[in-house]
Amino acid sequence: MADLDFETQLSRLYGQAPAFPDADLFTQQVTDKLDRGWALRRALIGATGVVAGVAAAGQLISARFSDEFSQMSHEGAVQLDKLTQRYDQLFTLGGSETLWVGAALVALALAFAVTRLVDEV
Amino acid sequence: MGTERPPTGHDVELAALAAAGDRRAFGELVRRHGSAVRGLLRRLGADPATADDVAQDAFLVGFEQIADYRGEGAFAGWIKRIAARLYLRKVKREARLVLTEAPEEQAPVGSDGPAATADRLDLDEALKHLSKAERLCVSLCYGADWSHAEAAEALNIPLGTVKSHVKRGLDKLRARMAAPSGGVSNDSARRESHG
Repeated sequence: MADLDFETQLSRLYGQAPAFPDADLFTQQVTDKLDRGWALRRALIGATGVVAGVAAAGQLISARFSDEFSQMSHEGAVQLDKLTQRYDQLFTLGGSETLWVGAALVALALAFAVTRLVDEV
Repeated sequence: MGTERPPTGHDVELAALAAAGDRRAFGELVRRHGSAVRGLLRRLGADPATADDVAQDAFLVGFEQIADYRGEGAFAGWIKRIAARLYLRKVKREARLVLTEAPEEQAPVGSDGPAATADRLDLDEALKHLSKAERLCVSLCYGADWSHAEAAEALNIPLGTVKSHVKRGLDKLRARMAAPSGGVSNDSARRESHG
């Protein structure tokens, strides 16, 4: 140590990590916490996607309802038969709105599946 | 199974992988530098349990901020700075940090018995003879590579006070570790210029 400057020597000593017998345990604890945080984040993202999908679907359907009800008020009971037919159409596979809602939900499910797959890989 | 092997490579490469979301790469960084961070926190004056808690938090924060690390310096230095900052925040929050200009708990210097001679090069042993403030300031500047000015700002004390603590701490360490008294080193000059 005589030939080395004391402060340089001190910096070097500080740079030498002490050996801890539980070093592996410490690493495991940190990685476990990282994994838990990641899993929680993934669940939150998935839940947010589902909520957003449901909200979007709800918006579409409620918009459809309000549209139909306003038509009802304007056109009166005479149009009731026609309205019933349109609702029948809404809940059949051929209804365009139903298809859009379905496509949106499928896209959300796919996005969720892809994020999980990427994470697993 | 090849996929189970921990990632290898330089710290910068592992950090880049971690920034892309590879938690195993970051786990390897934890394995490599965990002891250094834990050791620094103990040298700053943290008790073992607190040191380990803060070290874990530092690595979790490090993972969140890993994209900020671009390899300009050593990863160990980068994560140690985070750990030191977290530790200071913790002790300040708990109002346990009282740094005064006056010297505290002066330990006898240079009165080694034969048994202590074997510990002359033991930094951890020597640090026990420094006051809390001296230990903190010396360890921040030489262990976490902070400048005097950075330490003063983080500790919220005057720059001159930090320099006093460092000087007294170095004097005690030099005596304890039987270092030859010398001139101002490059490290010292650099810290002075920062300060």
